[in-house]
Amino acid sequence: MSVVVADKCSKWYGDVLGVSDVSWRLRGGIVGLLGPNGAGKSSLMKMMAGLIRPSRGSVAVFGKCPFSDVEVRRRIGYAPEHEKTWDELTALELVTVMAKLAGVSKGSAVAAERALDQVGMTFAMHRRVKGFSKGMRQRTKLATAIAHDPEVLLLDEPLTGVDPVARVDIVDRIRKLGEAGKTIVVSSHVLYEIEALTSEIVVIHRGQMLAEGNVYEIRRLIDRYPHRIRIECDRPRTIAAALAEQDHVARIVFERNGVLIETRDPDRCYDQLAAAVLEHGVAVSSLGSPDNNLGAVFEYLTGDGRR
Amino acid sequence: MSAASSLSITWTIASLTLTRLVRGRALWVSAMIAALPIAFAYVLSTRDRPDDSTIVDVFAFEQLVLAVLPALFVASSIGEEIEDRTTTYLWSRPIPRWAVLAGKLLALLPIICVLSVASWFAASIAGAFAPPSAASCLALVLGGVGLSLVAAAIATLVPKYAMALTICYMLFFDLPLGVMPASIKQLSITHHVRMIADVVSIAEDSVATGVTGIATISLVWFVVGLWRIRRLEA
Amino acid sequence: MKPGIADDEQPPKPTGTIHDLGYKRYIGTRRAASTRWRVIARQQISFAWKTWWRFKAALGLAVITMSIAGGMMMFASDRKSSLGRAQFFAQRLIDTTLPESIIWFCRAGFLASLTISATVIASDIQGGAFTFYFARSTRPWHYVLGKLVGLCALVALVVFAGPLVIACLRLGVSDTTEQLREILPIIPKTLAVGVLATLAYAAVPLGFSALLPNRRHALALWAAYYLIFGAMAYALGHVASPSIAALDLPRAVQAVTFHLFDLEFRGNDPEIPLAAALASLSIHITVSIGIVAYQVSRAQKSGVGGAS
Repeated sequence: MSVVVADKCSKWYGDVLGVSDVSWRLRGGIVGLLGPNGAGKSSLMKMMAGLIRPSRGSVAVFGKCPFSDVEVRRRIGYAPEHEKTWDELTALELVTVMAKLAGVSKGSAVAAERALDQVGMTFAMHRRVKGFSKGMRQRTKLATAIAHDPEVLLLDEPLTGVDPVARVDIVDRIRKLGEAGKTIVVSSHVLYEIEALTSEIVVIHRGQMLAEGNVYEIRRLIDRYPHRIRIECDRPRTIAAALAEQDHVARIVFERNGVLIETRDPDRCYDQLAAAVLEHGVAVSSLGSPDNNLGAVFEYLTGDGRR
Repeated sequence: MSAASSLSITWTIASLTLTRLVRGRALWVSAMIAALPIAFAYVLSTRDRPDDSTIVDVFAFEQLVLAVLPALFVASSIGEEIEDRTTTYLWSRPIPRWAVLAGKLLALLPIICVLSVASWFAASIAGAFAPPSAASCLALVLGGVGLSLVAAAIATLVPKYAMALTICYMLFFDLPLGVMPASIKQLSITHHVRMIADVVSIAEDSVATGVTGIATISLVWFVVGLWRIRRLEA
Repeated sequence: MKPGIADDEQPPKPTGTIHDLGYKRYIGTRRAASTRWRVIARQQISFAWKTWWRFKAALGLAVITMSIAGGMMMFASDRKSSLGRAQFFAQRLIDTTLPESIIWFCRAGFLASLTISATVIASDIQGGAFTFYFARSTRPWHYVLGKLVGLCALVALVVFAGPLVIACLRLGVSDTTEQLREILPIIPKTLAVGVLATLAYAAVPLGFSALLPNRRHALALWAAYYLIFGAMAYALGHVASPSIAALDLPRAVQAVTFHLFDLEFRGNDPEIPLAAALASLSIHITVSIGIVAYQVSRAQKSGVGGAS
């Protein structure tokens, strides 16, 4: 049975289309919801959490509409993207209240403590949320989502603003929750964050679902097409001559002040490029790749531009 | 959802509201506001004035206090919750949407009523006039409840400017309507408060009419608030 | 080569350098630092104008007041000649419309303060705007002056423009040139009242907005001060000294108007002396600006504003 079923769901905010005709079945495990800012990730998650209704179509969690069915929300844990919370409360008080509201009537404080322990916040549970850093707030939000032991976790950008050390820790904890059998949907606009958590992703852009499946499959789709590297330097022809004979180079285009190289093996290309620069003493003013970002993924998926 | 669990949820939200209130500054601000009529009564007591006119004047100020307290507590609390999107924490839980309204009112109504009545009692001591009648206390309590329901509804409609709009509602609608020499004054909660309290003799002095008036106006606004909160998206 | 370091200890010479990343210093003309307050003032005005009701509701009330007052004046002037012995009352209506309407403009000014002025600084503190302002070379006085000027511009539209239009209308309905010359001083009188009212309804709520860091509490305190304390002061003016009533801002403005226009106070109203009214308004304005300057300066030094 699918945990979440979205059936041709769309969401309008006035004239702005937040989610456009998305149909999707979530069966379980950890799934990454990937897309740039404004793609519709949060809207989709809010529909799953029962906070907003689709303007058209439907979203069902465990076969029930989460907006209208109060009971199904007992099985959902949601950590919102925004930071704002009740700063006057301590972490323990906050998570305890959330546990109580989620239906943990007896032992809500114990459940809260356990949740805070799971996210590594025991040391600060008696401190007020007001004085927390971003990382601590993110962990506390995660604790509020898991305190009542839900079956489905919806985590909206749980790693935003978190330092690298805390990021590794939170990713590890989320992975453990997934291993414990929970269905987890994590949204992010950073590919490597999702890659660290799961290989199953859903790519969403301008409200539409562009792709779903294994992240390596999607990446390979990018790598199947030549990767572009742009170098601005004082002697572009020297660089071009050094790389022209390489079998991985598909095309070389001279531009003003530099050269654009299309390669099927970017890793090799970068190594050979560095060697050529050092050998010939070329002064490089800029080096970059228009393909090395999420935009390239979407450019490919949407069929925009030269592809 | 069972009545017991609805009650439990409402109680939890009420506790949360109270905890936040106690740790914030709103109580201090409201105490300062509620103290103003006491100071006024004391100053009047130093003047050679008949008790009746002092009581009338001080009660008029208690009504002004009633104009501000629901805005400060209820409109502010509900409006802040919606505007700051902390309702996402609440509504992603298995709680009915009306529970937020109910919980907030459960926590804040007693405070508003107690503050108003306590201010009235303290003013009577400071002003050295007879202790307030039960009718006048009832009037303040019912007025507080009525205006709080109005404030709650306004907060669900315009959360960002809930307090300002509630004060505007009182100042530009309820108070002026209440002094009009026509039946339109029945739309004013302030008018009904004066009817119930026996500090002012009004031609159609009737507690029942006053209670019915406040109940009707409050109920209409409460229904508006409930309707709006059911449709609100976090 | 780094000075003071031996040749063999110098850091290795880079074999490749990135010397142009595309960042360029701005070389165009720059505004003088002393004009920064203008930017803040303009931003304040455009922000207040944004929504359809916040400031425009108060402006609407002022326009309605102006229209009614002007209409009454025009009507009375039109019908005066046909009224016979009642001409006196028509003339009285024409002469008193402007001063009597001031209290209504003050109400519109209060409405504007509720929706705009009374939460300005508290909102900036809560929202972390100070971090933006003072991370640049903005001084506290730029901020205070900018906010004050911006609010004065907005409030002036409500409490100044309307009375000025009515004053011009009054000149327009004069029967003769002689009469026009006689009543010409109402323009400077209206200007004086307008300036006082503008400063009062801009600076005093701004002062309250600086008292508390939470905008809702600041708004509640201002509303309580204006409505409850003001009404109390006015009531005390009846039973004690009339000067106490000058603590009620709208009554103080009204008293200044009545004195300037040589109008008698109504039977029940306390006759607030001109000196008391002027003193009250001046003290309110000065203390409020002082509070704003102090709080902003303190906030700037302590680096307040926003979540970490």
